[in-house]
Amino acid sequence: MGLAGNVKASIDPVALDAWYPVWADSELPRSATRHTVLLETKLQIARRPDGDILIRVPECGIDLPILRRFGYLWTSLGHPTRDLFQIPEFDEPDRRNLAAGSIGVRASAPRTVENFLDLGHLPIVHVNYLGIEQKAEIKPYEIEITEEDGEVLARNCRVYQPQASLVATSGFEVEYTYRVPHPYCAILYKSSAIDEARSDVIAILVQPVDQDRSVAHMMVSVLDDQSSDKAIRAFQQFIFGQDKPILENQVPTRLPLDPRAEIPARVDATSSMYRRWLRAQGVRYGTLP
Amino acid sequence: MTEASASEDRWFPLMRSEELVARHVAQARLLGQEIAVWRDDAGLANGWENRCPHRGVRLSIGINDGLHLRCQYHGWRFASGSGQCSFIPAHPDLVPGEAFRARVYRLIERDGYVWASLGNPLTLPSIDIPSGWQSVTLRSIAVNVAVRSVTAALVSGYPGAATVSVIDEFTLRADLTGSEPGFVLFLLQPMSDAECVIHALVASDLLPGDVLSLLRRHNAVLTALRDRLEAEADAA
Repeated sequence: MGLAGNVKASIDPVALDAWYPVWADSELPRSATRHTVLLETKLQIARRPDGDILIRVPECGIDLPILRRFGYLWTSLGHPTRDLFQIPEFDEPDRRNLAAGSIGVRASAPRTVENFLDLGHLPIVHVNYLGIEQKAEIKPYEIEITEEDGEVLARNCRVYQPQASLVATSGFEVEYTYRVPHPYCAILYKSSAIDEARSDVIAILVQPVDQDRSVAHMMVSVLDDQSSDKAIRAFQQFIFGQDKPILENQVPTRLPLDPRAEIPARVDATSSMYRRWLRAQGVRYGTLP
Repeated sequence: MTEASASEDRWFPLMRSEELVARHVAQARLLGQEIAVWRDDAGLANGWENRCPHRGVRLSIGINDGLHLRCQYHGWRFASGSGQCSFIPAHPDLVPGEAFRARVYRLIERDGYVWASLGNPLTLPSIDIPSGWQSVTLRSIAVNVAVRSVTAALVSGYPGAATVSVIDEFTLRADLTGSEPGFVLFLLQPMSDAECVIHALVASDLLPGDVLSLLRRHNAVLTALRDRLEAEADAA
């Protein structure tokens, strides 16, 4: 098949066969064609006048499979062996679901995901929004690989946040749950500022451009009937804008999976688990052995 | 690369001492290694591997608080001198162990320059200027070519110099004649296999009264040298 000749030998089978987000569904008008790069392969994404969507590798003229999930268009260069993960909250009728931004980063996809999973940086990088330095302590939390889905799951993560979201009117101790259901995608559940029984959902869905560059697609599914779409997007992009210069100054750009390469503290239990989980699955793309 | 291994145990100038100002963190490169260079409030200059041992963020984007270097990612503080981590904001009661330490390179200030070594040099760096002579340092110039290209260009001639001699692989001396006697000493800092910095100083038993025009003249010569070498490298 023509596509095989285009796919680099450096791409491991797990990375090759995964589904990836490549464009926000809402940002592809009818009759529009867009271009992006996935795993070093150029893609053409088009919506025909009749509304049909097409994702093609122009170099060989092959059309790729398409999924429409969580506000994004997903595709794969390999042969996906399983369906994409679920985010059940996305279908709850009273939520605001938004594609909150697609931002190119000079960092590998796993570095970008790990930053999203990182609790210790919240009071430092996002000071006065997602934490404050006077209450930067992170207490122990629960971390596991789920038996059912084999996902990384971190629960009971607590951090004091002065401005947890746009609708937060005062600071409060926010409870976080993290899920990593895909090598390059992570989902965060955080206590809602307006309904303490429920959670806002924020996901980072990362498109690996090559081993050292990625596009971070952000998805939010929030309980917020006040803020405009524009304001919700602007808040997420402001927060990510604080992370981007950090990510682009991490050396090396690829995520080291050898536990001796970088020294973790207890707060990094999620990141350590994520690295072990990538290694156990044989994910090599964007990592160092 | 052999150049790196053969050079590990020697000193290289990274910058002039006066350029390393208080509360700043400078970024330097030596033999492919990035170095974060910073001065504590007591005056001690530090040269550390330019990555936090925790999550790899460049320490040169961190904060120099006068006693510690504070990483921008998680606020970990590393002490001047030892590089030992002394505070982790996420665990304020924890005393970080020995492993939580920035990698510290040998660094010393002498004769107006900040010198570093990736290895363990047995001697101290020095610039030999006859006693009673005066010297003035030139602006350091980065060039996107290998050290050997700069050496070859300098050896082929330097304006106003009768001879240019190679003292060692990274040090050259141009003996001046005529109206401005003395010599120019070139100290080459290999940033990588393809980039270097020319540090240079002019020494004389009697510097001219108009030092500024002397600086301008040598700066013009070295700038032209850089432009020519980079153009040649681009063409090749």
